[in-house]
Amino acid sequence: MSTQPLPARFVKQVFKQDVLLILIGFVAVASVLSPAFLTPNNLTNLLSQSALLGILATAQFLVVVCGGFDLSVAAVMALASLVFASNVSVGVGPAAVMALATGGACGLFNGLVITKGKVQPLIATLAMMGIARGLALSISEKSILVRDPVVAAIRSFSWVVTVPTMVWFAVVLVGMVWFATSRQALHVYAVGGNEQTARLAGVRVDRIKIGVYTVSGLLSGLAGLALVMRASSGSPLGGMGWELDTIAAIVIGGTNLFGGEGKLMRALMGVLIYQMIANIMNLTRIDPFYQDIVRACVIVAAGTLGVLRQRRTERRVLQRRLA
Amino acid sequence: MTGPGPQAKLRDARSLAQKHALLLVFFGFIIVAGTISGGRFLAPSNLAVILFQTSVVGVLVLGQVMVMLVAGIDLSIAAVAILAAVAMGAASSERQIMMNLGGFLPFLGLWPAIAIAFAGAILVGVVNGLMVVLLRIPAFIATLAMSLALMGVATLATGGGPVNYPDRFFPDFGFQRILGLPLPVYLFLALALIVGFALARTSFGTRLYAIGGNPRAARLSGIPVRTVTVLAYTLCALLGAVAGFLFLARTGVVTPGSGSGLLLTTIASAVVGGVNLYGGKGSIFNAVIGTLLLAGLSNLMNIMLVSPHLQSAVSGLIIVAAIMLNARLDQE
Amino acid sequence: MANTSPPPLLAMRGIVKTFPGVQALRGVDFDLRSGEIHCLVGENGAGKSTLMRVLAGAQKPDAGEIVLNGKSFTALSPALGHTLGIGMIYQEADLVSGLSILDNIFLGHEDVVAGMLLKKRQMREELKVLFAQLNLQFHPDTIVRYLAPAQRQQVQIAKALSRQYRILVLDEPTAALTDNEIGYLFELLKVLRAHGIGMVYVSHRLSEVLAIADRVTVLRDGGHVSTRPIAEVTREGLIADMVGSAVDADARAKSTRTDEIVLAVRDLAVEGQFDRISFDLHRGEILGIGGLVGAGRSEVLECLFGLTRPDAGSITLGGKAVQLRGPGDAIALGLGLVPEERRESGLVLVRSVAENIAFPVLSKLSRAGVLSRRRLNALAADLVQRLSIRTPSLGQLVRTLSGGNQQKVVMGKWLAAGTRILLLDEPTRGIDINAKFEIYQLIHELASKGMSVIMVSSDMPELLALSDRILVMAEGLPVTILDGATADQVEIMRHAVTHPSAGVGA
Repeated sequence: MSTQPLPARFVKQVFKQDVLLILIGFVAVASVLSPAFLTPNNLTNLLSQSALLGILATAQFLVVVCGGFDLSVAAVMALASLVFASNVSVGVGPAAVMALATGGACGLFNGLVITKGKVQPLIATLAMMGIARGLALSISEKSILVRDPVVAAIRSFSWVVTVPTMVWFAVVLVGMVWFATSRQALHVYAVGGNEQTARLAGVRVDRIKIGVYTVSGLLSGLAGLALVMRASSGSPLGGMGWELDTIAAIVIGGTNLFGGEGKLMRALMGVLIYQMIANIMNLTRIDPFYQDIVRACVIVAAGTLGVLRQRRTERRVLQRRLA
Repeated sequence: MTGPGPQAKLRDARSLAQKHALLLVFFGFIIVAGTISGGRFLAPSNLAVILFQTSVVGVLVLGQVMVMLVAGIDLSIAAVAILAAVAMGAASSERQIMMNLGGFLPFLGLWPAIAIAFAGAILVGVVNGLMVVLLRIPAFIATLAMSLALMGVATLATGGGPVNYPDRFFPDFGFQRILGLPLPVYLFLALALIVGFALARTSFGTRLYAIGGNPRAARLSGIPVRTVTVLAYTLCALLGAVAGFLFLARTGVVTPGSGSGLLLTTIASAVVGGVNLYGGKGSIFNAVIGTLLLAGLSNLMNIMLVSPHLQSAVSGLIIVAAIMLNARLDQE
Repeated sequence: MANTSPPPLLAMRGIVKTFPGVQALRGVDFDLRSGEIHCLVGENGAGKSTLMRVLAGAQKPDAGEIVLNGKSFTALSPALGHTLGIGMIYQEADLVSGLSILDNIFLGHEDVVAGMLLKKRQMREELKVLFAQLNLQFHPDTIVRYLAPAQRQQVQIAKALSRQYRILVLDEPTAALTDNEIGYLFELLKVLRAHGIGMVYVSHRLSEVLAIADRVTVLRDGGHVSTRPIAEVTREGLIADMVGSAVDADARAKSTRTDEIVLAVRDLAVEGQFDRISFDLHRGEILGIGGLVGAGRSEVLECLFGLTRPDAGSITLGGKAVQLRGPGDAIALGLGLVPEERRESGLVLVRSVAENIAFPVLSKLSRAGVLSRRRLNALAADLVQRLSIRTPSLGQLVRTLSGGNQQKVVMGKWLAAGTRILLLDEPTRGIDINAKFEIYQLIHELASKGMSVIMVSSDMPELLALSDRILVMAEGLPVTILDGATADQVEIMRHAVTHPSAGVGA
């Protein structure tokens, strides 16, 4: 293997970064199509638009790598944003804690239903989506405006990027360090890759799963706070349909939907690619209704790419076995 | 270990209960619902309402079950229904076409509009199936993408506006009653019988179960796995178009956003009805019971004046509880 | 019960386990000493797997005690077994294929600081020492997915040693290995033995048991039959203990081969799998294909059944050259494949016996797509009777049948389809001895009625007892065709280990 000439190895390394290549391709196309794309203003805007979906996608990534699904992320975000908005009179700090706790509790419930109740993740979190969205709407059918000076200050603060973007980047940074260094992260991959083996190796599978769903809930709660920082209001209908967008974004980012494989950094790039489609179309004044169709094509392309990648490894193993 | 008689009886009763867990839950629910609603739930007119409301989701469930039996899932089925309803409603009515701003649909007349909608659905189903079978994209992703694309097309078709003025035929069909029940209910029940028969008593149905149970063994037994799978997705999409027709007939109005709750109710109904997400297990009868159970629950909460938002939360809890109960009774 | 020996690592006493309708274990005793390989043999259904599942903590026994490290337990759990130093090497649930070798070896007992941070450098060092002990050469960051089965097993064994397991359970460890790899495995096991690890070795292959065991325990029908040191064990004695009476494993039946050629294969090749395969198959003939695992034998069958397209060569059926586009074509031309993994590839376990038999002929049993249950049941009832498949009813789920009866269902499927050429891949693997002989009889009977059979088998007595001729393959190439009546095991083995690429042209 190491006898290959250096350029060939370099090319191979580059092609391993297929998601990055696609992202660069998108940026290149975008800057050709519209001179407005590569302006600081637009990039800040793009990142800001991606922040909420990005935080939720991080939560989704964690759950999917562990072999599950969380369809409740967006609804829990909306619920948390309302919990914050309707309690902000108590003080920003306590309200934020309540919002996060709400998210965490939803996630914990998911985890318990899935591990102890043995309900399939898709269904359990689907039910939680209905529960959280319903609770959010029964708190208030309309958005609740937040007129708190602290929130207003955070909202108007911007240093290169806006606060929600900073929150998103912080989440990704912590996540990357955690994935690279911690034992629990290894266990998450192991449970997603082969639950039975992980169990036999002494990994506490149920505990890992409950933890993963709880963290997903907490991150959704955090996204709820970021939602308030971005819109100055808690919104019961915030993030409608985003649960599927998060999945689409991480699939574009090369995450294996059956668990056990994926890189957070790539998932993040997937979010950017997904959001850029809308951004580019806005800049080039294409009818926004076409966005969904283009997104659909990108998802299918990403799915096909994932399958091709997998088939290539299978073939390589076969060849090695015969060699 | 003393008297085998009573114990054996107990075991028989237990296994009987296990076999018919869903039916027990269903009848239990009916009794509870009848009691706490003071009989209003069981009034014939109310039961007719439940059936009427079930007809759309019920037809979608029939399609979803077929796809789930081959270990797939169709997330685009609600979008197919909505797009079909939009196409039928808009292209069948000159008045509607004049109301559309920037839509691409021309006026076609009633039957051509219906034909176009069904032909489109078949095409969607075939494409879904081919994505799964040839490109080997997980069904979840392939149909999710299809759903996105279809919602985009639905919006473009009418320029983003609602369809308010479909041809008279649709509401006429929707509210025509025979023996006190609206026509859509009969259409749903007829389709349930047909699909139920197809799954239990035809070679196609047997092949679906074989593919879902073990795709490799099915292939090695000479079953044309790809063809049958594509057929399942196609029939599913076709039923989606039928559901779209019923939706338009029942409500007379459709917007691209109308389908938001439909998809998840469909999947939840099938799963509560014991259809396995991993393929190979499930029956139409139980899936229909599951659908009626969820529809009955929502109706009961309406009667009890539970706010629609709390309803969503309560249904979520009850779906989870029903599945856990079903799984527990189903064990061993 | 020798008084002089040290107390055993493990003692299981009077273990009882009952499943609905079956008593799987009826008071079994089993013990394991430090630094010994204790083989556990018995037919399928004798209780070996149940006993091992009790030890793994996957099953709770109804009665009995398990003594480990001097402590007595009524039941174990996987986590408890792990802390007590019991390691399981299963075929299926072995390693997490998406993780690296390093991560797999330390999974569940990583070196950490502050309860969560991994000490990767330290683990790397430990791994280096470990691999040196076992004379293994792997890069620690290699993802396990890229390893061949034998390499995976070596990683598993390294994993067991690194965890300082004191007890290791190996369940059919050689099922996927070539002979060379088996030899290497035995070397590894000897290293472990020298480290004082006690091993339970569960296997069907008596020759391996005889080669590696220190003691052998035989189970039959859920009960303990015998435990003997290897010096007192003979092959015949083991078989007698397993089946309750001695069986003649070497009965050759008369050939029913005719002169009519039904299948002619010429220079068949699939790139990367096999090359230059040529033979004629006669009506009523049983053609054996021998060779080591990985010699390309199963791949030949798959190609003949239309699962892979040949890159070169021709297949002539009944005098006509054919192109097979898939199993459907092959079945239509009268071929049927009984695959090696019957549960994974041969059967739909969650469907009934009747349906499984009828899958290839569903269209023939239907009119306008509507399936006739009456005709389906009649067909299935006929085959259940002809093959004496033991099932409570035609509607019984195949999952609940024993291995031998499951295999008969797979064969019944092809009889129902009117198959004229039966392709058998390891037809009796994992099947208990009595059922094995029933299947041999069945194969003979079919051949005598004009069926032609191609049989791949790694069980050499089986190959010799059944085949009219034996094609021996090595490294994807044909080596020779032997006469089944005169060949012997030594001769087959000699051909199977040659390197045909060095100059043998078929």
